[in-house]
Amino acid sequence: MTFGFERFRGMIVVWAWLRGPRGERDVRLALDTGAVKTLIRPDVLDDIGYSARDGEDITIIRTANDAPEPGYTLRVQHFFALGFGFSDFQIHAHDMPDYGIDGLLGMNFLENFNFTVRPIDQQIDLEPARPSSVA
Amino acid sequence: MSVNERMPWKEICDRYPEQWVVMVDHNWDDDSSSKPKTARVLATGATCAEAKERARPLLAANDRWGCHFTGPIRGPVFGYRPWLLLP
Repeated sequence: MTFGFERFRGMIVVWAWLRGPRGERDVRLALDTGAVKTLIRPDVLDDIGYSARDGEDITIIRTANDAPEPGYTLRVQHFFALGFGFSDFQIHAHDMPDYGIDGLLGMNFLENFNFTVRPIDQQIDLEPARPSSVA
Repeated sequence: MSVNERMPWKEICDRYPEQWVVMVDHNWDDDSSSKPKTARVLATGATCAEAKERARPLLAANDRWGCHFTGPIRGPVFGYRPWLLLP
């Protein structure tokens, strides 16, 4: 499957949505193969009914140019991006500066696919690596 | 602002430049579900919090929505910092 993406200053931005106990939110995420987990801003999670109390683990983020900062992981009811959805999907809740996006699409989503990024065409070719795990 | 008017994402960006917009009723493009074809704008603001606050009275009737920035994404700029290499 092929999907278009937005591109800003070298960043690849895709649309996604997630569902929680209080509704659904459409989000824009930067595709980041350097992020182990998909990251969502906590205020977005608040909107759909999650809080730090729902967290599974407290985590530490170490970025390339900032000091380590705490966050937490939790599982959202459903997460959908690039034509594929996962139930009970683990995300990393962590604040980020106002970059104009809601978070990062990380490797715990992308590792389920073989994918090719075509920057000139602004397209991503995606092929499920484990079809049975993709809803 | 007419909250009933459907607009493509590009037109939303042109009409509300450098704003946060609360959007509902996304109509996803069949060929590329990675971005919405059209949506309705409920409210705008200089920040995401401001846009959401303005849209709050209307959000109760909408189970699914999004708050998006119409300007260019401002990502982190990673640069070579030689002082990090010093002992």
